[in-house]
Amino acid sequence: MKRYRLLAFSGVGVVAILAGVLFFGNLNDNLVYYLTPQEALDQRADFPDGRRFQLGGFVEKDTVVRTQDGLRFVVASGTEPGSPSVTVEHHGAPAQLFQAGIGVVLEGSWQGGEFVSDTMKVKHDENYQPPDSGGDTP
Amino acid sequence: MTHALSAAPGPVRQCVELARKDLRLELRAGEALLVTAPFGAVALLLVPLAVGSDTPLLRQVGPGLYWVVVLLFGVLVALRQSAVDDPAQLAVLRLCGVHPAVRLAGRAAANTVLLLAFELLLAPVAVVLYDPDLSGWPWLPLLLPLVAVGLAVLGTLAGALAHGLAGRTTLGSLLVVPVAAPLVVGATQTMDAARYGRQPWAWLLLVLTVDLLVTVALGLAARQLEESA
Amino acid sequence: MSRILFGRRLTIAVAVALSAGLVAAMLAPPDRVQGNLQRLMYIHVPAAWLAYLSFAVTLGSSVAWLWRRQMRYDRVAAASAEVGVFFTGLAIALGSIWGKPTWGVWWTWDPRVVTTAVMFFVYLGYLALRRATLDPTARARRSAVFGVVAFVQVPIVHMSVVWWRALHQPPTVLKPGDPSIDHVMLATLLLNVLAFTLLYLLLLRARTRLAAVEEELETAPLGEGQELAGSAVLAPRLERS
Repeated sequence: MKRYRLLAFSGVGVVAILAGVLFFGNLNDNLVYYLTPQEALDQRADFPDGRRFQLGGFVEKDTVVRTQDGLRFVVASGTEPGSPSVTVEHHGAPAQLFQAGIGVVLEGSWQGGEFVSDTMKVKHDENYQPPDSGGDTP
Repeated sequence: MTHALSAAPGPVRQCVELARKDLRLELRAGEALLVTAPFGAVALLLVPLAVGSDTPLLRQVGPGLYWVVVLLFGVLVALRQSAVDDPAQLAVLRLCGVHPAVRLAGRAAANTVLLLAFELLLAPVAVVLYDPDLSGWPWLPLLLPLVAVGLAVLGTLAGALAHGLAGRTTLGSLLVVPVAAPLVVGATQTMDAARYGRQPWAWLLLVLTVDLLVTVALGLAARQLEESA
Repeated sequence: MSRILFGRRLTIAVAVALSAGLVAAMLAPPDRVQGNLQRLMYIHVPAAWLAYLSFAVTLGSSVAWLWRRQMRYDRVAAASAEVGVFFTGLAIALGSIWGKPTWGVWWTWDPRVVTTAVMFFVYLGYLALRRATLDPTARARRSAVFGVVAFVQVPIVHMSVVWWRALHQPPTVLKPGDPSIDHVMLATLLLNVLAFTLLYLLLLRARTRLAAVEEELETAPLGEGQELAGSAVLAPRLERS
């Protein structure tokens, strides 16, 4: 019985350590749903042209331009000016809620210095406000 | 005596009653639609986790994956536990003068209904998960029953062949799946052809031919299988 | 029969609460970004909350069964899991409907969405296990063990949006600090959560009562002079010599 308990406790300990390693270690960074523009720029060497990944960030104001079959805009890591940003060329229709300042997750790959995407998802935040209550976005 | 014989139900009636019995058993056990169908849905959910989230790629492989899952798990539907007759049941049916072909036809009819329900349950899951190109959808009302019939008859045949054996479901699946390959080819090509604006009659004809072929085979084999049972 | 199963007072309370919740959801202000689409939240969030609640009740009564071995705990666990599976399915379906216009897709491989689907299938497996096991004691024991193990999913689902970077928004209310939602909306949401919780209690009670009646029926002795299997089989009669 004592031996069994020891075995069980060491088993739980090993599981806890492994979970900690997985959780705080490098693996968690590879499991992300999308990369921020900052990470995408840092890891540019790991993602050659054509390797697909998802890029997520905020659409920078006054950068949205309509093109023949989609949009061009700049995606930044944060809403404040000067945060790292990536120019995106999106082919296809924009999502219904797409607008300047909103969060988007784009699927595509690097094409030189630009990110060419073909799938767009809009990420809305957890804040809910009625339209006329002011707030931080116009 | 003659009166009793003339009052005995005809083969069609027998077949319908046997199919109803199978469906009622499924309604009680829930093996096909409450266990196998979620299993198939989990398979559809797991594939993209293994492949990685690449929307255009998934959109492209979605219909094919759907048909493969329908084939692999549909065999399990056809070979479900409630579709096994024990020796006493077989003896009673034989004593009542039910022809073996009628018995298997009843099973095949029940399997067809269940497989059709299985396909209809999984289709919305595949559509939501993969967001495929659905421009060939008008052909589906024709295609789904044809594939269900083919798979149901094949499953009935395999169930009869593997009857009473220990590895019934695995052995039965092995017997069915390679033979059912034309069904998958026909189904995916029908959708593809419709998407590119071609007429998919040739592929539907292929599925129909397979259906008729296996039905004839089942009818011919029924008596032989009965004697060996 | 339905009155015995559902009772009267609780049914009225549920009807009143649900209609009040519906009216409040209609009257609440629309969201700044999402507009009227955001009203789906008033059903989506309570449904997800009920899923958590019912699986927690399943966990609790599974533990109680393992501890006390009384059949009523098993009945509560089963009833709660059934209700929970239904509301998980509802949350997924509504989330999908909400996701199409806001995110732009029906489905995405987001951690929250995928873990919720896995939770749905795990508890579907729980129900299948119950159906497949015929002996009541074996069924209670096995499903109690599985009911405890399966609950691992629930914290994973809830924390998935915090642990991993996701498309799904992080918790609005169940987080430390002030809820980041307009207070009229918050009140509406809480009213709907309350209404759904009452509905859960009603369904749970009805299902538990039904299970008790079923059990009684199964263990009831066959009446004297009753046919064994309908009129199909006659019980053998001994000839008096």
